[in-house]
Amino acid sequence: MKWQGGEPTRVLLIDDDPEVSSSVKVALQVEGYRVAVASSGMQGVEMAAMSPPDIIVLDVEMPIMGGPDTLKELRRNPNLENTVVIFLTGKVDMEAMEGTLEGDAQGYLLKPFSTIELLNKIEENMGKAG
Amino acid sequence: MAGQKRDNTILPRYYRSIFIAAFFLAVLLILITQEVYISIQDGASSKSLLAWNVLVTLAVVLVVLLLTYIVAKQLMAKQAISEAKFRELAEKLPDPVFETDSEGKITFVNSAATNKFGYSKSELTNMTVVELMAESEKGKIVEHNQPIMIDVAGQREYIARRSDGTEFPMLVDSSLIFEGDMPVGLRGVVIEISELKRMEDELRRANAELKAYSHVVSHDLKNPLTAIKTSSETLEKIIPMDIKDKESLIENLLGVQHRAIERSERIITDLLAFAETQELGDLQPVDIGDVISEIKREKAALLDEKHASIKTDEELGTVVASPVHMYQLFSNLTANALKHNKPGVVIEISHQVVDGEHRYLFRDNGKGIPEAIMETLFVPFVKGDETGETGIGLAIVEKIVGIYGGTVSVYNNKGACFDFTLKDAAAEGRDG
Repeated sequence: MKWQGGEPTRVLLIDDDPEVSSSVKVALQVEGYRVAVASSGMQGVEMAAMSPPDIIVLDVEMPIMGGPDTLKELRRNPNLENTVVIFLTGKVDMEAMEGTLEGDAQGYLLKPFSTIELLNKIEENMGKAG
Repeated sequence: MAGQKRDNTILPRYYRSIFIAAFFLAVLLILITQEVYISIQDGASSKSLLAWNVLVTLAVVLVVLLLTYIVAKQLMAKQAISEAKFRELAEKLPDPVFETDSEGKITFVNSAATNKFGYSKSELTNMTVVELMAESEKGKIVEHNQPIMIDVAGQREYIARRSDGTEFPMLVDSSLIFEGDMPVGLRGVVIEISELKRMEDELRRANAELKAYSHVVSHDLKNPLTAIKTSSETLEKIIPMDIKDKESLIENLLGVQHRAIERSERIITDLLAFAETQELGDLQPVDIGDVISEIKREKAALLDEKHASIKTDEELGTVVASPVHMYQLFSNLTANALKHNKPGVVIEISHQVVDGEHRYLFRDNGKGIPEAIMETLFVPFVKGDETGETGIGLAIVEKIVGIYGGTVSVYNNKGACFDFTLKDAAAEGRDG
């Protein structure tokens, strides 16, 4: 599922942590995904509007505009209404996360996650979407 | 509202009622017996009968009055003994005990009250309970718009004011004094709860810090761990592969690992620094001008690189404090200003003494603090933006200011402004 209609699957990674962004970006690129990185929620919303991705990997805990608020902004864009969104979080409060999931995201991963967990989550959701 | 009944008049209301009843009973007796004898003897000897009746009735009334007086005297004696016991007990109590009249005017205090409030007994018995409260509390009582004693009765917390103007939190546990069904005053005990409040504050702060610590472990440390984990796995995968740009990818991932490990170290170091801030260390007069000079020397390279400068008042005051704390306080504010502003930033530090406290204004001419992060600026480990910080610098600033009995406020005025106060550690009664 790394290809959508003959093109590589486009992933937009929105995370304020530069090291997480860099390592996840390379991990996904090696697997054949085309990855764009935004370092803040606002930047992510702008980038997604300019070039809608197939899947968005979104950090929950970011300053100023956190993951859930970013998702709300993303969903305002008709082109992104059905885009698969996977949250990344360091929180262990599952109850809070369940609440977040009700906000129209397709899944979440708890940090520190492994590359294989991320790939499985993406492929599982792209499978549903495709 | 709890209350207790006490009759403190010469002849209590109950016995006044008996007295009146006895009078009417006597009159009734005269009339009845007179009518009876008149009807029997047809008025022949009505005069002698009338005299006899009056005599008997007067005797009955006198007996009832005498009995009422004896009972009342006994009750008053008992009450006097009870009052004496109460006052004797009140004198032995370590906490202030008081009684007031219906206007809230103090009618009785024990010796503990004189020690606690710094007034003599005669001064206190010329005051009202409200006069022993801080200005801020008086408004609260007037707002309720009801008699003072009803407003105060029960278990309530107030800020008290001593004769020297110093204030302390107190718990007033009091109940109404009744005469019949009428509340005529208030009786209660005052317990100073400074220590309780201090412990509450400490507990609240400890809880906040614990929450912050858990945030660090659950979030801040998990980010570098995620980076290390995913980059290691990717390295493991690509090393045996024959792919384009393999070397630069490996270099990139190793760089990620290096930075993630460094950041983990920094977070752990800052965590320890934050935990250790509470310790006062050696207290001594610290010339803040010298502290700033030291910071200028320490950060000379960074100030030069940022084309930044630090301007100060000629006199920045001398604070009795731990030199480490004072250095940390001004150093963190300086680092914050340099980190978040473009080159060319000018830092200004001014000082004045207000009501025996040192007041500092630490300001820069930079971009100011974004409104969105203003509220969480001093929350440990909450970062303003991603500039490699751990979100601990300003939390330490607030913690140090708090240790020296001060407060810090922040606002934007042509740049970021930190306005804070510090009290000399000795004035705070600290012994290090």
